[in-house]
Amino acid sequence: MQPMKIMILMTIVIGLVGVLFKRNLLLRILSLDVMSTGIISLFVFTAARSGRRAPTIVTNPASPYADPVPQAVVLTSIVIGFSIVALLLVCAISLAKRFPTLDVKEIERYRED
Amino acid sequence: MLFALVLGPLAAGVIGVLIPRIAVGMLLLSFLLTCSSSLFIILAGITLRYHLIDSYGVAIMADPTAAWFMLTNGVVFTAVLIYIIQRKRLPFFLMLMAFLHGSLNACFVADDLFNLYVVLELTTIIAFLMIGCTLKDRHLWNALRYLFLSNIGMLFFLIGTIMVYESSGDFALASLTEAPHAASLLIITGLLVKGGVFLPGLWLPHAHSQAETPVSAILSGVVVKMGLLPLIRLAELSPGLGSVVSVIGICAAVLGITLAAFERDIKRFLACSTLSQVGFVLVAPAAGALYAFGHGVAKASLFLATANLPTRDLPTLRENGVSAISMTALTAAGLSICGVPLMVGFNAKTAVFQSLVSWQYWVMLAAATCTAGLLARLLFLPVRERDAQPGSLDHWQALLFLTGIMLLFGIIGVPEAFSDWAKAAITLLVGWLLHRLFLGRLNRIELPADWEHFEHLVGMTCVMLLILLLFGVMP
Repeated sequence: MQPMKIMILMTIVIGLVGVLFKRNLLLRILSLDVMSTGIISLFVFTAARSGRRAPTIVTNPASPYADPVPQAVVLTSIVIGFSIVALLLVCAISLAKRFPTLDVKEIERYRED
Repeated sequence: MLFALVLGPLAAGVIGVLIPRIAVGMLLLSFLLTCSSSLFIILAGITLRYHLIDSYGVAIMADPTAAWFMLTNGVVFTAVLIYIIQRKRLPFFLMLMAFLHGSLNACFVADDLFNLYVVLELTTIIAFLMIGCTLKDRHLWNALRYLFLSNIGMLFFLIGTIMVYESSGDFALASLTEAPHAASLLIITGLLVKGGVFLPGLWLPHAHSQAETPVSAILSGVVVKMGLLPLIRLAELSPGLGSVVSVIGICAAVLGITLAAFERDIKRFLACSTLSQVGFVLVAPAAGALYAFGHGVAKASLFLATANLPTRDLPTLRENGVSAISMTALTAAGLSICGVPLMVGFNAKTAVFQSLVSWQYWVMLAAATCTAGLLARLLFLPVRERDAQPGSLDHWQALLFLTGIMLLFGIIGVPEAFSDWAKAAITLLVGWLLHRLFLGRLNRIELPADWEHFEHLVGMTCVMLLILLLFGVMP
């Protein structure tokens, strides 16, 4: 189980590095999405601590099942993350229509004028 | 009652879009409902708490602390509604206002980590739509920056939340004390981004000054408060977290004052002042709620008063003068933030200073003096009617309302001790002396604006997180 957690944490860090160092606005938004995907996996991973079976009623209750609470709440953050990325992308499209660039520094300079 | 506070404005917004004729009335009704019920909670001193049965710490709660925040919410939104009634506005904007009001109420009653995450994100998205709803490039870029940075903060918050759940099996705020240090530090960092505090809050001057006037008033008056209330609650949980939050508050107060000293643009100046005032809210959690109310009302009034100024450049304003109405509003709100007796700011400041000890007291006293010195820039502007533009009289109602609220809450419960009055007077006089000596001239120096660039702001948040983690690991 532990290598899995390390990989999830690495996904979050990779997303964070992208958010910090990418100059392209589109790639930066995608890095944000990578980071939030990592966090969602962290929730799912935490839920699987106690077992991997789906928490439904079955004939053989002895087998350990996954904790349903993190799975339930992470659904909300998936939806929120999706809608935020969608809004950011719409905003980026609208900005890029008027100034044909996605370079963050360029946009920042245009804005000053 | 708590459900009505959240669902009422949302329903009002939907009805307002369907039947535009009664939209304003519905909105006003829901804002006044918030005001009256929060006043009731404050006066009766009750705590309402609803717990989900068989829950994982999921609860909503309203106590007097939260009620002060809701009262700020109600008052500021009522004033902004009065302000925009006279201007032609899209029904869309009214709907956003109603939704934002409802979701802010939800932020103030949420009492567990996951509810808090959801309503904070909801509020951010609505605020994003509000900043960007003019579809001008300047506003769109501002909105994008706001949403992006807030979302990074909330991702940190979410990591903290799952760590708390892993260690204690529920989402209650109280479980933070048992969770590893890293969890509470991640959550604090996320909230600092939302509240515009210290390094993670450096997005605030740009976001608040570039938005339209009523949006600035809402953002600076109420929306930053959504990050402050959870921080106050965390600070009350354990002495360790309390000292972390109050030290951050002191740093924020000093940083905000330093930045404000070098500002020429009046809206940026006000936004930097917000950056320092949130520090005052956090430094003394017990008195923070009253301070947040005082600041919210005064800052909304200041932002609304800037709407009719001929220019935003402070030195030009000093030469040309401003109209009498703007001047009255600027003076009243400015004096309240300085902490002049009979204004709500005085009561709040006295309460904050009563709960400070030793070195914190002296640093914050210096900060309060400098605040008085900096706001003197607004207080000593010359009045000249001829510069008033036609139609500049049309928003005095909103300013009158806010000034009335400041006076009302200033006169009720004013501290009677002579030492408090003397201290306020000395603070003010020393501040004005400093203004005369050098503070008033500092804004001729221009600071480099690099720190405000998008990528640096993200970096600042990470730097703050690293600092906190280092301090968390050491003891």
